[in-house]
Amino acid sequence: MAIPFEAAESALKQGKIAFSWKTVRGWMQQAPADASPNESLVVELPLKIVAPLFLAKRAEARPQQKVEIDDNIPNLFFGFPQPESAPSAASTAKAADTNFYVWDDRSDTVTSAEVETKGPSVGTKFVSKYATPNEIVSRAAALDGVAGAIIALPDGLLVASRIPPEFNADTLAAFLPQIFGKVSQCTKELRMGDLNNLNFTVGNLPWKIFRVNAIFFAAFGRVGEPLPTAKLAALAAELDHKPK
Amino acid sequence: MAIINQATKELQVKIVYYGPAMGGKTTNLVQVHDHVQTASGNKGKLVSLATSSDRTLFFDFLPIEAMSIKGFKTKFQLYTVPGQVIYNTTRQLVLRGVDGIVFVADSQYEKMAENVESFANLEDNLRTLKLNLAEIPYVLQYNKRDLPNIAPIDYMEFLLNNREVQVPSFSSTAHRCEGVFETLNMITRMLLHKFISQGTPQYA
Repeated sequence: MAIPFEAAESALKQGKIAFSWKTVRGWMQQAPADASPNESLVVELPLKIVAPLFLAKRAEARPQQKVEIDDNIPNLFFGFPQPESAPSAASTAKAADTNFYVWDDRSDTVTSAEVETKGPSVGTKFVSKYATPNEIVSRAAALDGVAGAIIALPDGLLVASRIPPEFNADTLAAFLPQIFGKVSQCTKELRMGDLNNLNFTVGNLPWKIFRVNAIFFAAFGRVGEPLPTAKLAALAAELDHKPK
Repeated sequence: MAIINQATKELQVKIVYYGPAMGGKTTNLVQVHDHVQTASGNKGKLVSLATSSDRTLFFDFLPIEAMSIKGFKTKFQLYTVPGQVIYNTTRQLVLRGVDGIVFVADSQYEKMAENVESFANLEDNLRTLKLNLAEIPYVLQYNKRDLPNIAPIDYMEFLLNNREVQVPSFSSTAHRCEGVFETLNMITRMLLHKFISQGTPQYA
């Protein structure tokens, strides 16, 4: 059987050599003379045999332009192959060094949102004394896993803070409402409603921002340690009162 | 297109691994993630954005020797798409804002038609996004070269790399990490070359 070159080329470009039996029969040197009832049946020829024959017969491929890259641009990535590594296990392994939040990551604390919504309400504690902002940040900073806490007004003015010396409280206060506001704008655009609180991680450092009426209360943790979300929510709730 | 973060002075580049189902796209990402050498904290977690039945992976990291372009550090985000034909909407979504593409082809003879179909699907999806493959840096990776029933490289080149401009192509055995970094380095070099030659990258 001799397949016309153009027909073979066209079929090989599809990654499959399939023709009707009628067509194939026409290429056979000793084809059966009688028409078959299966003329329209599609017959697939073995790529493994036809492709190498085609490539051997094919004239020199037409010249192609090559992609040019500046030799001064170096390789950026280097890795060490480890044949024993199991890809499937690797894909599920938890890496400590991440900036990304993953929903099933139990080491994070976002899933405790339900606890927050059911946190203590000062409205039912008639004899309790309202805490001052300074007391709130002091108590927050004393919690396990909390490195610092800050309270700011919507215009970015600092109210109270307990933060490590390497942070600038005024700058943080200035940005808290902006960070919260930008994400809140997105949730509104998405018709998801107003943002209640915000969790994020920066360089493995967990952050949480609560908006309590017109006050922003934020706390941040330590690398690799979860924030005590429920306790922070309880402290935020203590800010939730009307001025006398 | 590349995203510029003026605050952190970073250039963020999106690379999508595209190809037929079970061709080795995810294996490429897993191998890069497992073996890439970066300074501590410069490699993101391999994250799976999964629906009930398909899977899309991405992760994000900074290379050690991040090359500065006009004072910007380059940060690469690598994505895979679900290869199964029915998840075309997901593929279109992942392709949005793509800067470079690695097309991972399956070298087995019986997968040739799927390779062609996937490549055509890539072009279609780019057209939907008003993008042209000829204008996007991409490389080809012929994976699974360790299997017995594989097509010769010449044929795969004829099949997938027969356009006006011949792009770089690599043989690979991704599960052994062979050819994985060669491919990644080439696409990143092509991207950097493009950004440098174009001058300041576009803002997203």
